[in-house]
Amino acid sequence: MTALVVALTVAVLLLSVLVAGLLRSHAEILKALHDLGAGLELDRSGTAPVPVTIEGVRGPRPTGSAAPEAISGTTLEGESVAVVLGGGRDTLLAFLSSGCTTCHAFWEAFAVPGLDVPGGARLLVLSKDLDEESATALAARAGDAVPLLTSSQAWEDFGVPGSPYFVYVDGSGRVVGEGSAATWPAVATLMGQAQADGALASQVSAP
Amino acid sequence: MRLDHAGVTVDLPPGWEARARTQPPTVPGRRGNLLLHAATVPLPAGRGDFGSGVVETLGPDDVFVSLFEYDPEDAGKALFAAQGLPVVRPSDFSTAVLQRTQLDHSGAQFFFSVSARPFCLHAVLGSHARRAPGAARVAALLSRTSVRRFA
Repeated sequence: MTALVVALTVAVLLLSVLVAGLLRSHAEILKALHDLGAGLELDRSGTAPVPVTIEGVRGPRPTGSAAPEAISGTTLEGESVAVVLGGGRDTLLAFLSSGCTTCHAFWEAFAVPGLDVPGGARLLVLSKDLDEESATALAARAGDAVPLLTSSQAWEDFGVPGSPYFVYVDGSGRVVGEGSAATWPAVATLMGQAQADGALASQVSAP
Repeated sequence: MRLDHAGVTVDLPPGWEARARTQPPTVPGRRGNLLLHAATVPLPAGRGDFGSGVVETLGPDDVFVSLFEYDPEDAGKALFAAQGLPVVRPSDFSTAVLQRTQLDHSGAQFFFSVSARPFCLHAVLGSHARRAPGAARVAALLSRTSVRRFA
């Protein structure tokens, strides 16, 4: 009987130490989150999300902000290309890399003839320059059907954080949507909504 | 946006796209001639020197321009006697100029030399009935184009 009591006491002590340790680590996690600005601040009026800045990555561009006015680049065949955005024509910019696994689905989707781009926009696929990309790999991914330009400058001008990444520029040269997703249907849906929202906003703001 | 290729510079107006490449040389060891396309519609990768593959997509207010360079020794020929980029007028356009007759399309062709370089300019409008604004768009593009000597 005594032995049982001693064993139970030891077990209770061990469990108490374990629970105390867990509580302490949990408190440290909450403190770290609070230091990052993600804690609950019930005394603050309003419920706006807390902005989080990641070093080296710009914040989201406000919807409707002006896009860089043009894109210049080179095709894999060595053609110099310049495209002035706007001018009444919507453009979907797809920033892809040959090496990114998620991009494979987009290379394949864009190679299909008669691709349905939201809003009837022109599709431009942009990879980085050939000193940062493999021409062979790009040619294998793009084939003849994908409208591919190499332009590290465009990546820089649009502040592209990584690939795949998509920017929808409307006919007046405004960015009405941008972001990333894992599949073309998901991107098409999101960009279609952004394009429709942009068109609606233009109608509302018109006198 | 400025496109600069093989001594030709084009300052594109809004809504335009331009592509330029150097053709394979006609004589080994010499530089290839320039071929520049500009249009108010997207330019597909596969297209003919004078716009096949593009002009079929022109809307009534769209235009396509092809600037095709010939060999330097042709600059002295009578065909290229006109000096300087052409001044394009609506009356220059005709439905008879097109390589292949397109519904209501209109075309114009000019041969000239600039900086001792002989060129053919082939322009196509999406609508002969609307050739006045179409010709103005071509003229606006040419006013923003410059050609310099290129070795």
